[in-house]
Amino acid sequence: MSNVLDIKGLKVDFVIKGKKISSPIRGIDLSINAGETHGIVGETGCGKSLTALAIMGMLPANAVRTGSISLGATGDLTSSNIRQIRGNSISMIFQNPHSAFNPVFTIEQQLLYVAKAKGFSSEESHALFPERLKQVGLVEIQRILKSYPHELSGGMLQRCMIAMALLSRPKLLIADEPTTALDATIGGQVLALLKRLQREQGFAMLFISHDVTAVSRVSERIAVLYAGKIVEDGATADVLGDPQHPYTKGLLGAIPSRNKARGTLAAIPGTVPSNTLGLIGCAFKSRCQLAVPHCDEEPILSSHGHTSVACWEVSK
Amino acid sequence: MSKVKAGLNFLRGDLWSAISILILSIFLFVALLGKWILPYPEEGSGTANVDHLHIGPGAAHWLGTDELGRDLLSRLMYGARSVLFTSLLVVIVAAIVGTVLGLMAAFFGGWIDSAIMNISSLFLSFPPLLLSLVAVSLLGPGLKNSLIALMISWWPWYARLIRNEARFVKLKPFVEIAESMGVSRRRVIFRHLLPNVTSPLIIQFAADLGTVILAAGSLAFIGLGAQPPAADWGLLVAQGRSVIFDQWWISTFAGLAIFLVVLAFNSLGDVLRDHFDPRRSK
Amino acid sequence: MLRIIWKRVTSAFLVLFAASFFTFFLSRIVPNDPALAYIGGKTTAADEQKVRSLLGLDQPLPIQYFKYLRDMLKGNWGYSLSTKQPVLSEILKRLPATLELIFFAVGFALVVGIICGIIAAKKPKGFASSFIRIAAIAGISVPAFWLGLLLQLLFVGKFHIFPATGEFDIDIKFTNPIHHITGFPLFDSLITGNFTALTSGLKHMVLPALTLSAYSFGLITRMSRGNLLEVLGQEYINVARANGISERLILFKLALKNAIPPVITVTGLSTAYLITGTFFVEQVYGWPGIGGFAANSLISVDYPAIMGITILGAVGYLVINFLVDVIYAKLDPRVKL
Repeated sequence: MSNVLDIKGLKVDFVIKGKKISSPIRGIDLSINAGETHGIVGETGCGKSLTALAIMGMLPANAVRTGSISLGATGDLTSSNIRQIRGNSISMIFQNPHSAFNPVFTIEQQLLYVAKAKGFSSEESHALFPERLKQVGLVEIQRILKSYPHELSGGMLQRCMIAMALLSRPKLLIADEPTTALDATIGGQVLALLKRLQREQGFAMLFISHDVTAVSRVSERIAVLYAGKIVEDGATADVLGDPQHPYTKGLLGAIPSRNKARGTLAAIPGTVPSNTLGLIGCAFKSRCQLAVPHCDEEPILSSHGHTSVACWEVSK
Repeated sequence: MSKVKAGLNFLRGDLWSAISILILSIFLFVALLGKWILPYPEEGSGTANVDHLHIGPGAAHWLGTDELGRDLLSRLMYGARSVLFTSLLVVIVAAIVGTVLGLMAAFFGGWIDSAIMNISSLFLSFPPLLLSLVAVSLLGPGLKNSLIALMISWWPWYARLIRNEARFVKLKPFVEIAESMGVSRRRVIFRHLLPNVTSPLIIQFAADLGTVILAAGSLAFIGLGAQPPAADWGLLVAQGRSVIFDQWWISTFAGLAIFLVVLAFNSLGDVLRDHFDPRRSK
Repeated sequence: MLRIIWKRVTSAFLVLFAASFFTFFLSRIVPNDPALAYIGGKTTAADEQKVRSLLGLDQPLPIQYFKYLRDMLKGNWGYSLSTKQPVLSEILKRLPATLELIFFAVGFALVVGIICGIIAAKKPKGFASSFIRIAAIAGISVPAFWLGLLLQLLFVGKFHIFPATGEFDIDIKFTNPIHHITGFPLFDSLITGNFTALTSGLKHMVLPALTLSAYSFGLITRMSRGNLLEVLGQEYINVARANGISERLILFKLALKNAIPPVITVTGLSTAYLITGTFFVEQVYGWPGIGGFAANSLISVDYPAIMGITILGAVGYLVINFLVDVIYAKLDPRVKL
């Protein structure tokens, strides 16, 4: 199985006038195979969305990226080839379907703009759209095509967004919190849809969310992100069933679920560091019960049993 | 100490705002104290000096002399006072009347709201300045009448602005809570509604000062506002018009004064708008 | 749609009613006696009485008002005190010149304003952007009458490029008279191929139109820039970028259509402001339009003319606002008329 996406040592710094003011991503290694979904979970501010932007080459102007991101046969993604790749080999879907669509154009018009950008002609597009919209589970296709975004529901719009992203049959689909703004039932449908489409079309998917349950439903592998670094990575069943890293344990313990109806929600004491500049060693040590002096040295992600963990105490 | 630093940063960050504040400070200074620092005091207030006709800008008269030989700089400085006070008067009166009516409309609702809003809409359904022009024409030219005419035209803007803002605020939870706890109506208006509508009020006020100066100047230019020997800047532009190709300095500098002051007020309005609510769409 | 038009028409009538009432009311309570004003000088008591009954001034006020309204609807807007001609015909005679002037002024302001707004939004921190912002705020701050005089001073007096006053060269009437088809002089000279007159007219049009356009330019530029900046920060622009759409398409098609509607509103607003602006600009440039007529009527307190102008102003404002609402609704599908 070939790697569709291969990220090595990704670091992103924000720089103003040559001075580094923050390091939102401090080192990420990730790879995804075709037909496979790799999830990224973490709290707000851990750097998950920025990872997506880094892959897409859409980082803000004052961001500096180091490390390598390569896409299958295409090789390294650089600023010169990313314009071609974006929207063609790599597509992205976003969190809020209502704000992701241009309010003054119909769905059809917006699809046309995207299709043209991906190299389709007008005739090809008009033939293609009904079929693709049907694929994402929409009915009343003609009505939807002629509608404006404000006339459609969130679920419908999200399906349209998925259709739009998959127009060019990308090799990699990045999903950034696609179900967060949707109702639970609709969200569940969208997750099922994404999984089905992945089976049919064989693209690799990077699924980003703070909602562990959603991530677990679609991902074969999960990476847990904390303060810009992956602290645990492994198969979904292993990471969720037998978490090793203290942060992962805390994160899963804090999730309300039917099985934990009794007792209080476990909250992790302390807060996520807002700026990791000048941080020495493990970013979690101030909140960690296992902290030892060795934690002043940056832990490395290393294999431990079924998963990879970045923790000195656990890896012992 | 950090407030001073923040203030300096702010000014340095925006040279333009600094210039505007400078212009306004000069304007204020001249308007308030100008009377005592006029280079040629009597000429400033209107005394002609026929020996000094047709003098262009130079050492003795920095901006030249007007068509009656009076030092133009003194005239402008003398007139600054009336320009400032007349526009202040108009805007303050219009703002007070408009705010009171607007608050009443917002708070009492019902037919009071409809009546006030409909009357305001009626006033506002004419092109700006038209009502003032007509009113001043029919009342007769002169400074007093032009002020009345301007006040008549301006209050509806405030009434509508305040009423909309107050209604918006009134819908917010804390007003309901106050009322449900038995706070008297008057208190609700003054302690709760009013403070929240002050920021749009201030912004509108600052911008309007400039606009009214422009309007009053236009009225004076056309002959319906301040009358000679007043030193209203619009009037001076009109007086310089007949000799514009020879004694270009009269109209030019008088109009430049209006332009700079209005420019400064508008910039101030912008700065205030950005400061109070940068998120709000213009 | 019909219902909206009906609503507009009824509120229009209300406004016109108010306009006529306002001017009528003011003209009757002020110290000047309309009869004496009409006569314009000393006269015998008998003649004065004749004029009074001629003008209907001996009737009780409500009846006067009724007659006035009725006449107005019939097209009789009274007689101008200064020209002694029917007010309506005086207005209609001068309307085309002003409309052409407004057309050029607003057209210029719209085109240049939107372009400047786009430039300033593309590179918000650049030098061009700062310059444009200052130009815009200058535009809304500059006194029109002063700008007019200044332009005359420079381009007529100093550089001798443009003519000072009037709509055409004086001799055009004799050498290349314009055949009136639509009644709009410049337009007629264009469609009849009368290029001498056309160039003469355009030369005369430049300075007045430029003067009049300043305020609109300022408002339009500010609104374009502000709106465009806001739109460019929206999520859907990001999504479009993520889907590979080019920056040029994003700016000119996807972003602009969102940013334009409020610009239209502001254009309408400033055009309305221009209505009174013409009073001053036409005076300065001797333009044979309504503005000059209005200015003179106001100065000479020509009541019938003033009332006619007020009604016209209100009507114009209504029409402009209506057009603005219609165009806005067409551009933004979320807005229903």
